[in-house]
Amino acid sequence: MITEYVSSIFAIMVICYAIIMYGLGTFFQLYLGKYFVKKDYSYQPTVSVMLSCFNEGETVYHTIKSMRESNYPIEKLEILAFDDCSKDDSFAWIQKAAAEFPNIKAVKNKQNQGKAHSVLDAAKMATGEILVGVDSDCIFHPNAIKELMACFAEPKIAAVGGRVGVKNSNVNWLTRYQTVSYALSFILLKSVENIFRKIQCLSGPLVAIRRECFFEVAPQVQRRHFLGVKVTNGEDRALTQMLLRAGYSTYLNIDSLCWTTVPTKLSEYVRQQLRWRRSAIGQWLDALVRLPVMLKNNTTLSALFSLMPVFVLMSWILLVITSWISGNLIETLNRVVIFHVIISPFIALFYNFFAKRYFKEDSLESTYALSIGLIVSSLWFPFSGVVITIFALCTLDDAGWVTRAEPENNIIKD
Amino acid sequence: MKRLHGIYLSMYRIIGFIFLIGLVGSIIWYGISLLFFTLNKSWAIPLVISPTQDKVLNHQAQVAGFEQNYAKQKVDLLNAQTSFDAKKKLLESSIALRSRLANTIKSEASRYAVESKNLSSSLNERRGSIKTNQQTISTLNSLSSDVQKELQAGLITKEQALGRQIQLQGLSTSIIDQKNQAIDLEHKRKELSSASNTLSGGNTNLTAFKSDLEIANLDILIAQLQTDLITIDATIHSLNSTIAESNRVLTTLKNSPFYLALRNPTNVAFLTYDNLKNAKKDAPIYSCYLHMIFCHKAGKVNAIYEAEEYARHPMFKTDIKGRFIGITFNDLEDSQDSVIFVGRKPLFF
Repeated sequence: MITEYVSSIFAIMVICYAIIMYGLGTFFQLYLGKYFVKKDYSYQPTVSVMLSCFNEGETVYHTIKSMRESNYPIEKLEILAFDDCSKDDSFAWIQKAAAEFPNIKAVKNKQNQGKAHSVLDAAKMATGEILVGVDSDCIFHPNAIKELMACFAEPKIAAVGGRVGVKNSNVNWLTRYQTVSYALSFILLKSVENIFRKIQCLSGPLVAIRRECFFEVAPQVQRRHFLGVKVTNGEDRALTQMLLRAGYSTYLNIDSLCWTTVPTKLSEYVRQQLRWRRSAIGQWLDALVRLPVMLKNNTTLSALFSLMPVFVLMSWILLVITSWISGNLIETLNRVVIFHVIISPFIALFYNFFAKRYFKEDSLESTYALSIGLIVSSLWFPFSGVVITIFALCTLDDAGWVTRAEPENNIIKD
Repeated sequence: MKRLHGIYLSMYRIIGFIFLIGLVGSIIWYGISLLFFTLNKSWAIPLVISPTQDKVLNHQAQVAGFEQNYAKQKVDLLNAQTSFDAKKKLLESSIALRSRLANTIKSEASRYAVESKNLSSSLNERRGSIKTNQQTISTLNSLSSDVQKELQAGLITKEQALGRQIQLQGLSTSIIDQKNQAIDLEHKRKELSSASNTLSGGNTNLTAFKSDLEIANLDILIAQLQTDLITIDATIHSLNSTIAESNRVLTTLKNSPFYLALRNPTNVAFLTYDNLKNAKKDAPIYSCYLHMIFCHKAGKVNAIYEAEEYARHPMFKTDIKGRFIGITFNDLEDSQDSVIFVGRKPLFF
């Protein structure tokens, strides 16, 4: 009886979070546009784009090319491309790009050290007023850099992120699901944090940071560890959190676009989710420890935003565990899955209706195929919420590129 | 610091490993359990029904209500049968009475007709006699005037004249009497004639009509009785079937474990309809570790109850329909298991 009561509380927490965040996000986007940042396109500082590549092959060349073709003054844009000891021909492609386009520096690390530390090395070489971190597998919209810079018109904003779309969205049900997931997350879910300039995670594929702010928190990024094990992933979330704890504001400009290639196989997707979940949980633990700093230097709302998602994730796990103890697990999972199955076609319709009008680049070919994709993914959600989270919680000391290779050296040196 | 981190890291890794093993083990075990309970057809949920349970108390009240109702139905049947017998007798006597009355009326009508006919001929004779007497009276009247004349003429004395007058007067009175008698006869004849006519179906005599009315009243009574008998007969049939049904229900209720539990705690097990085929009287019951392995014989089935019962599935927690079976446990501790198996071991060991 008590466990059923506790289950209900956790269920209410999960449902309320989803309703409030998506509901408020929609409301803010539709009716509170005037409270978002007033962009100033005349602000055009010098920009250093930092790119760390590992086993990307030819893709990295196209990434650099798309960045080079930005609608931004060429003399104000330098690109620092680092190869983190790829086992393929990635560095050759970087060198090719450096030969073909101006203001590109090609560097090869002496040893594999992870994306975060490659970016730190790149930052030391960078000369721009604004440092832009990008992923080596993304393609950028020509206006991506211009849009990011326009938001720095607000002086308190230390970092601006862009929206990440899906390049291979129409491959299979998994990529369709991820396309919707990315779009809803960037456009609706994050807009609640965005309106208060308290974005908790500016995604690594496209993020711009004021140089001085970056170097203010860079030592912390370098020192990140978990029980003595160097943490080399989740640098985007960590960097954003550190900036917020330093009292700065962070912002997401959904008009600054890039497209990434999402996993097409479930095994790849699981590994990616595991990496992200480790990063989220690690940062949540960090946020718990450093809560007084956040409360001192930033707002209570920011502290709340930093803790809430993982609290909700933990609520889901506790809901499953208490349902199991009370013997209602099958019933609970049934309800969750059936609810998702029922709303999937509506989400598909809603998504494609708005995508075709307001963000055509993210619209999908078939609403029917998207519905199927969302229905299939309904089975994934309960599994991901529990198993991936618990697995991540138990393997926080496992770091590295994960989706591509294992790190070689991950113990902090004296 | 590095050493401390190393210790923490080792502890974290050990705990994490144990936790992950637990997680994976739990998922596998849960999956196996789900599969097991989906495929197995011999599991049952043991229950102990005790005298203080609400369901037992409610059942007792239900049985008492049914018994009261059953007794009332039997009294109603007895009353209906008594009423039926009485009305049947009344009907038979009414039919006999009616028959007798009808015969009597018929005889009376014939008699009246004959008497009327006799009176008619007697009346005709009397009328002939009156006619003769009237001629005699005319003669007497002339004789009377002759007596007056003879008295005036002094041919006869007053005494003689008076004597003659008295004789004449007596004769005249006699004639008048005859006339009156004739009128009476005529009246009587008409009475008899009309009575005969009415008793034969006519509408001329009120007194005779009352006899017909008696017949009609008897007919109404007979019809009423016949209707009553049909109604009572239907009621008796209905009561008989109701009593039979009540008897069946009462028997079922009294055979219920909830009724048996009024006196002592009763061990039963719930079986879904799918699992019922293994449940036969004296079939063995098995109790197992971890719900499904290392099973031992724990008792036997002592009864299979008819009433449909509801329970919650031990894994899926959905409402399921089935029946109770009575269980005799060798060791009462086994009655506290959450699942037992009927007929055979679930995994053969």
